Amino acid sequence: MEIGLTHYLVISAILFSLGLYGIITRKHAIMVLMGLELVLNAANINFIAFARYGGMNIEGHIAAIFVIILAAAEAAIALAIVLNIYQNFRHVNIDEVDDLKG
Amino acid sequence: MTMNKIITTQELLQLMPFLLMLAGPVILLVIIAIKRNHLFSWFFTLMTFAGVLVTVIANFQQLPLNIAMLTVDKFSLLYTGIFAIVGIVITLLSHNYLEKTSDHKEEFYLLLVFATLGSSLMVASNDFVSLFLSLEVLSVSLYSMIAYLRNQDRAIEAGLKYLVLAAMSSAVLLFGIALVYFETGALSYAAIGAKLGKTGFTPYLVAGFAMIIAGAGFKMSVVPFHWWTSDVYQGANSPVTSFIATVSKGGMVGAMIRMFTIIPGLENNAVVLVLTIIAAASMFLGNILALQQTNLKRLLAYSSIAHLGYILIAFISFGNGGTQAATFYLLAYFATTLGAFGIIAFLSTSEGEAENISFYKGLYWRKPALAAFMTLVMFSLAGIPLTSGFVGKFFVATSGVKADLWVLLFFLAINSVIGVYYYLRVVVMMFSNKDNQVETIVCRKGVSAGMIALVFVAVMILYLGVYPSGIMELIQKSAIN
Repeated sequence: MEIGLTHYLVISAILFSLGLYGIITRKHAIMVLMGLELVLNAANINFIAFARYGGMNIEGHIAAIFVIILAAAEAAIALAIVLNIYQNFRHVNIDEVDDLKG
Repeated sequence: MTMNKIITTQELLQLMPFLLMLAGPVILLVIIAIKRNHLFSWFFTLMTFAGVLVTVIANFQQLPLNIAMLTVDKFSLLYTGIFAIVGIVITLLSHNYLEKTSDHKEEFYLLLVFATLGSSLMVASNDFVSLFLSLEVLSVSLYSMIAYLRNQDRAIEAGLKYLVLAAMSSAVLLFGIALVYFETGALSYAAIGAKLGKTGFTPYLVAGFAMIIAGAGFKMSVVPFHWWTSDVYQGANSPVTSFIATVSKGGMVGAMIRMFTIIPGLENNAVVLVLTIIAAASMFLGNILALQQTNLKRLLAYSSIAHLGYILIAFISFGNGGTQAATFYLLAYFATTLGAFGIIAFLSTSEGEAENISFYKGLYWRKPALAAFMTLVMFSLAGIPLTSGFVGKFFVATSGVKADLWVLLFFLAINSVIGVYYYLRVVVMMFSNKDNQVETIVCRKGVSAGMIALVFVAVMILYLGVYPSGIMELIQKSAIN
């Protein structure tokens, strides 16, 4: 069987859904961040696959590289915030970080 | 796309507003590393923004420049100039606030300038890659700005909530961009627009644009992407909240205007229908939820959802002067929101923010000038004549009439009435209860920087309300053609 565009799209759709599922259901802040990474990388796979099978140009690759860089920057800031949560609350369970209501 | 072109001096000069916002914080970063001085950092930031403003004005008459996925034209320069002015106001407000609340103050200004840079670049972007990049420059700076007061549980919580949801929405936006890229094989607006003219809308493209609108809708906090708004508004400190309410939202509106000018996305009925539903839902839900709030920051959060709904009306009536109306409304809303959050920041102490409406009970009898200013702000939010809010609504309605959006205009009228109720409730509160003994502490005696900012904002609200044609001419001149 030839590996084609559809396979990549299915993989990225599965990754996207798994990431979304993780963000919604996980209570541990780090797990939520991992879900975010999955979602971003799902979009990345799409870019690469489309660059290969669709647009046939370099722009998709450029986009993917920028996304990788940004995902790293985001993770850095996110971990810093999670560290601060640990310092203030002594846990990283985001269900229990809920002072803001109304 | 030829990549081997060397940049000329002329082009460098035209990029100066953005380069200044890039260089300023980097220099400041080094200076902070050597020696911390709050007053100096503050002044340096003010000078950076002032420099941006000067270079914007100097470059305003130049021919549009297309370079490195950016378009530097009158439209982007206008927005950059507006953001710089907002940046100056927020910097003025921040000094006193940080002095009262934070033990590490200097880095805040770096983030402020970087976030403003992101917003300005968003408006200048003519390519999805640069749009996404500048959006992330804005977002990543905002995460840390929201969580800046890291000893406060609320700020950290708001930062985390915003981070998770904003990253999620960026991913959705990215997915949408990928779909558009798949259909058109291009990422620059111009190439996509040209492709669209030939092929028309395919299901993939409609899905792609729907996801892009979802990602953009998050930044503009319109229903159903608004869930973060009230929590983040409340949890972040007031200068940051005013930044989210103004520059962050304005950048996305500007970016959408440019995108949909070059890509004729609004010729598709499905896209227009989606935007119409979003606009109507935002107006109603925002106003109805605002009715029940006892916290001023949450009230302003919900009211901002409604205001973005009004802006969307202008946005949908795109070619009929709608984009100009949207820009004007943004400007009017900027002035008003800065006033509202400026007051909160001004009255906040190290113990907490002046965010409960009950705090403002009888304010008139204690601080008449501040109460008068707050009244002006609330009148402007409610859209009462002689204020900027009224003129903004007038322009929005005019463009809506030209585009025959009667249903949306009917909703606009209903919602304006609902809005008047809860804005005036705050005003009534301030003039009631003469004998209230609650102390109002204003940190500094005499003229402070925050006071200058508030006076400037008050003048802008009245100026836009009484003599809008001057600014409107400028906005019309800067339209993208």
